[in-house]
Amino acid sequence: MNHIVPNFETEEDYTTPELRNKSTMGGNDDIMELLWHNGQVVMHNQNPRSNKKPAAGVSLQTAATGDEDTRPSHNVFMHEDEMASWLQYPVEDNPLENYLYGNDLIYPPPPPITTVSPNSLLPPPVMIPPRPPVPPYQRVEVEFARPRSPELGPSSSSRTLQSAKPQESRASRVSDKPAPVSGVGAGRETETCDMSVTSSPGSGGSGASAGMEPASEMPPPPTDDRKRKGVDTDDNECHSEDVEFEYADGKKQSHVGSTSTKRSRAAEVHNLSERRRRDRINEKMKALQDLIPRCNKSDKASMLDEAIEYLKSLQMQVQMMSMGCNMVPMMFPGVQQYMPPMAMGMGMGMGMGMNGAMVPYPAMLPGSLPPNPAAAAAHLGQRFPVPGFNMPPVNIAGPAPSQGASMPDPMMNPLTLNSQSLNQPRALSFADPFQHYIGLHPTQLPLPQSQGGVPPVGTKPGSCKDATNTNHHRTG
Amino acid sequence: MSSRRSRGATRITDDQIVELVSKLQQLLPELRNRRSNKASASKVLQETCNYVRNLRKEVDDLSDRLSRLLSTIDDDSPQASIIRSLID
Repeated sequence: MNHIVPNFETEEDYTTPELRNKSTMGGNDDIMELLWHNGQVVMHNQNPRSNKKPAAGVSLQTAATGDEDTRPSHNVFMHEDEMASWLQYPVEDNPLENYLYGNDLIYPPPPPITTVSPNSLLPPPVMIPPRPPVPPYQRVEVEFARPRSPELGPSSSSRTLQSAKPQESRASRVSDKPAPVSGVGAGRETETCDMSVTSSPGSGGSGASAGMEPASEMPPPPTDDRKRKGVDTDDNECHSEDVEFEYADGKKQSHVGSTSTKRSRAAEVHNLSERRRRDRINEKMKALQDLIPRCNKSDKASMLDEAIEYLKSLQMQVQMMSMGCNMVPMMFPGVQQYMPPMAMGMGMGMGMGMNGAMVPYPAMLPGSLPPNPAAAAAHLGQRFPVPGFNMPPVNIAGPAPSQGASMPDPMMNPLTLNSQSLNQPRALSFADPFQHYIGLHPTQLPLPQSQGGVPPVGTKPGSCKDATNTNHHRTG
Repeated sequence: MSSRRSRGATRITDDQIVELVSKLQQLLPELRNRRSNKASASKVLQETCNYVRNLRKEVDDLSDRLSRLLSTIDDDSPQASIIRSLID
C-alpha cells in the first residue's frame, strides 16, 4: 500500500529539505548530524574519522539518497504500529533527537560537540534500521546505551539536549522499550520524544523546551487536518496532543524513573497509539471519499452510507454488464436455451433504463418481489418506469407468437432473436412477472419444454433468479 | 475523548459508525465470510477502497467489451440497443 499518509508526507517533505540542507551545511564538523527524512534518519552526516561504524553510516547515506523516496513510505506505514513503543523512547539525547528532528530543523546548530565520535555510533546503526522496521529500532536503543556508558556526550545534533547524567537514565529507559527512533510520523514522534525527553530531571528543562518546539510544528498540521476532516469521532486528537505535551512536561520533570512516570508514559503511548489508529482510519475514510463520486458529505456516517450505496450500485452494474456481455454473443439463433432467461434478465434491466449504477430488475425479482404477481408488477412499476413491458403482454395476449416479432419494443427484440415467438412470451412473463407468463405459457410457448431455459422460467424466474440470487443475497 | 466537536445538530455516535462499517463489511467479498467483528474499521475501509477501485475497473473493462461488441453487430438490432443501454 502506497497510500502515503498525507500528514506524514507533507510534514516530512517540509522538514526534509531543510534537514538536508542543514545537515550538509553544518554537518561537516564534529557534530553528528542526521538527515531527517520522512521521519527517519536517512543520512548521517558525520566525520568518517570519528565513527566506529562510519561504514554503516556512509553506506546508509548513499543508500539513503537512493531509497529515500521509497523507504519513507514503507517506514511510514511500518512505523505506525511501532510508534507507541517508540514514543516511550526518551529522546533526551542528541543522537536520538537527531534521528527525530534532523539537526537544524528545530534547533539552531548545537554548540560544537566534541563527543561526536562515540555518538557517531548511534546514527549509523540507527540509520540502517529505517528500512526494516523493528530490528533497527531496537538496535538504536542499544546504541544509545552504549555510547552513554563510555561517554555521555550527546551526539551532537541540533538538539542540545543534555548530556551525561540524564542520558544515563534516559538510556536505560530507552533500552527498556524497543522503539523505532526514526519516528515515523514526524509530528507525532516529536511529541513523544519531547515528552520522554523531559522525563529526566536534568534534561527536563531543555528537553521540555526542545520537545515543545518540534512538537509545536507537528500538532498544528495534524490538528488542522483533523479539523478539516470534520470527523467527530476522532476529535480528541488535537486536543490530546496539547494535553499530552503539557502533561508530559509536568510529569516528566518531576520524576526520573518513578511509577508515575511510567504510568504517564504508558498513558501517553496509549493515547498516541490511539491517535495513530484514528489517523489511519481517517486517512482511509478520506481515500474512500475520494473514490465515491459526488460525495460531498463531510461527516463519517453519511459518507459511509453513500459508500455503501455506491458499492452496491457498482456491484449491480458490473453484474448487469457482464450479463450483457455474455448475452450478446449468444443472441444468435441456436443458442436459445441459454438466452431466454438471460434475455429476460437483461431485458428487464434494459427496461429499467439502466444507467450505470442502478438496481436492475433482476435483482428485484428473486426475492424482493412479492409472490403475488400483481403485486410484483406493481412493485416493479413503482420502482422503475417500465412502460415497454406493458406492451408485450398486450401483444402476446394476441394470437400467435409471430406477432411478437413485429413488436416494436426494442426490449423485446433481443428476445425475439432466438425464436421470436418463444422469447417474447417469456420476456413478457418476466416483465410482468408471473401474470402474463402464466397466461401465455400453455398457449404461447410452443417450445418451452424443449428448451432448458423455459421451464424454469415458466415456473419462476428461474435462471435469471439464480443469476441474481447471489446478488440478492448480498444486497438483502 | 476529551473534546467532542459536533458538526451541526447531529452528533455521530460511534455505534453508528460501527454499524455502517459492519454493513460495509457484508458487502465486501473478502471480509464477508469471516465473522464480522474480526475486521477492524481500518481494514474494512481499506478493503472497500480496493474493492471500489476493482469494480470501477471492471465496469470500464466491461464497457470496453460492450462497445467492441456493439461495433460488431448491426446498430439496428435489439442487441445494439441493449448494449447501448448497458454502456454508461
